[in-house]
Amino acid sequence: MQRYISEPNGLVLLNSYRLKLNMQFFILYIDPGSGSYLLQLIIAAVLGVSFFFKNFWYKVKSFFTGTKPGKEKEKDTAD
Amino acid sequence: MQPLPSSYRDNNGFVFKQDGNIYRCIHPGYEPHYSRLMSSGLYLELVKQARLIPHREITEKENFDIKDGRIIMPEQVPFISYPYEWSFDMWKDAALLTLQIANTSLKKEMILKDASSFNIQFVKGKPLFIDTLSFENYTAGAPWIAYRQFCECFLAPLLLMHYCHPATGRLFTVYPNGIPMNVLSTLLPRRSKWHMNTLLHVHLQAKFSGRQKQKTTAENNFSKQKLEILLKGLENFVQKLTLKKTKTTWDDYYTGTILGNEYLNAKTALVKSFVSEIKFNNVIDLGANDGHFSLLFTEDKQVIATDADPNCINELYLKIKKEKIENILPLVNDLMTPSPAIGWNNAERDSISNRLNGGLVMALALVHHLAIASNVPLSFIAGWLTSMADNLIIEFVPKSDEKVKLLLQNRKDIFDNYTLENFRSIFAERFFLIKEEKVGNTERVLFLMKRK
Repeated sequence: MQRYISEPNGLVLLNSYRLKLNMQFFILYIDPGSGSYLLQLIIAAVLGVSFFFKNFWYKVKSFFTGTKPGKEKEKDTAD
Repeated sequence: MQPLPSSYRDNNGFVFKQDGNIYRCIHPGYEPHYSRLMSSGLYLELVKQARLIPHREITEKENFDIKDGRIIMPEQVPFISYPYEWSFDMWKDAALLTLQIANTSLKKEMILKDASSFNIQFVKGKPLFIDTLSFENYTAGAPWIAYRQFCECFLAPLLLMHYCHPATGRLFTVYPNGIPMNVLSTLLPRRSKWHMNTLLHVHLQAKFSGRQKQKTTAENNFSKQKLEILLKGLENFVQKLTLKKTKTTWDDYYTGTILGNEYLNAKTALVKSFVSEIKFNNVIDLGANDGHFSLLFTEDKQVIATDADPNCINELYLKIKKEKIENILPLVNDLMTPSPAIGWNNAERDSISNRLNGGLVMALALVHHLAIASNVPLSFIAGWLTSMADNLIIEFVPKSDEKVKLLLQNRKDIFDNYTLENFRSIFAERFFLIKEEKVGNTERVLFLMKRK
């Protein structure tokens, strides 16, 4: 049970201690699932490569068609 | 201060109701995150973009039974709907909103610690993020803790509706905490394994989900750039998803022979004249179909348009979005199996019957589907409507009508009690029958009623 101290100095120390403690609380707030970290690494790597090639191909295309490599067409947003 | 039945998972605070208003109590432990949310400009930016629910801080804490911590009062949401009542594009916009908020937060060194679809409510025709406590300070090197939850709570229903059928969104009542990847993986067709994103986020994740991995030393090496790539990749993926095209019975309901424009115009005129005679603040349109009658109301009247057909509701939502209509909330709801009370102790998420209360309820072209197609006795229908409606506009469709003949063509007619006289007398027990008019040249009769 965390205590809330109102004196200024105590607050600073207690806050940093609480911050460390709470990090662990937050990590466990929802169960991220075993293997999720490794999976996210793999996915980020694959997607990173895919973005790289997409970008590259887009630049090649616009070089040959003479259009500016500007923003992609208007996306549907949640707004 | 009793927390709401659904507000127990977060140890940083809880939501409670007092004096008819919803409040959020924030424990002192959340302060570092709350102060960054407010002082970094993230809160202001998201509120300005109408993405996050605004709140005000309560300074007069004497009215509340609280020792330490904060109380905030969020802007009140007029009607609580649940994700399994949404149509495809509502899910998609809710998913995109979550990802966009995660992206914006990252720029201010914060991240979303959970990605539950219950964090979104539809207000003024658009998705709104309502969980102010979902933001936490970004720890460099950490992967996205809510990734799996995002996949189970957003990607899964979207993919089911993309690959399988629009009606599968309702599976979320069975898995309100997220459809597990290993279950989803078996439900999707084989061709989904050939699509890179589905292969990665669903099938690969399903294979990983069984393992109990040991904590490795490299677990703090997930750079911010990788996280941005992951979020961007998810956003692009969701953006490209479309609803599977299926033919439904209701697509061309009003283009039949007898039920052409003339009938529609006559009915519209009648409804308008009935509406002008009564006082009400909100409307429930049961079996709204394309929302034609929901759209008749002015912007100051809140309308909930429900229909069992997810395609109809999706079309209505797209129209609302395009025309920026703010007073209509379309929901998928099958009246024969309306959204039940689910979750812990069957109390976490309330049934739709308890949430639906209408100043005015419209049951147009509906009664024969309940009474004939689904065998519901007229007295049951009357009883059900009594609990929901102050005022009622209801259309009686007789057996001589071509649509009812269609319903009876392959069945034995056991509906001796289904007559206009019986309908009148059963409803007159519970309602004052204020008006009764034939609709155009048809045999259909429109009633205006007021609960006794």
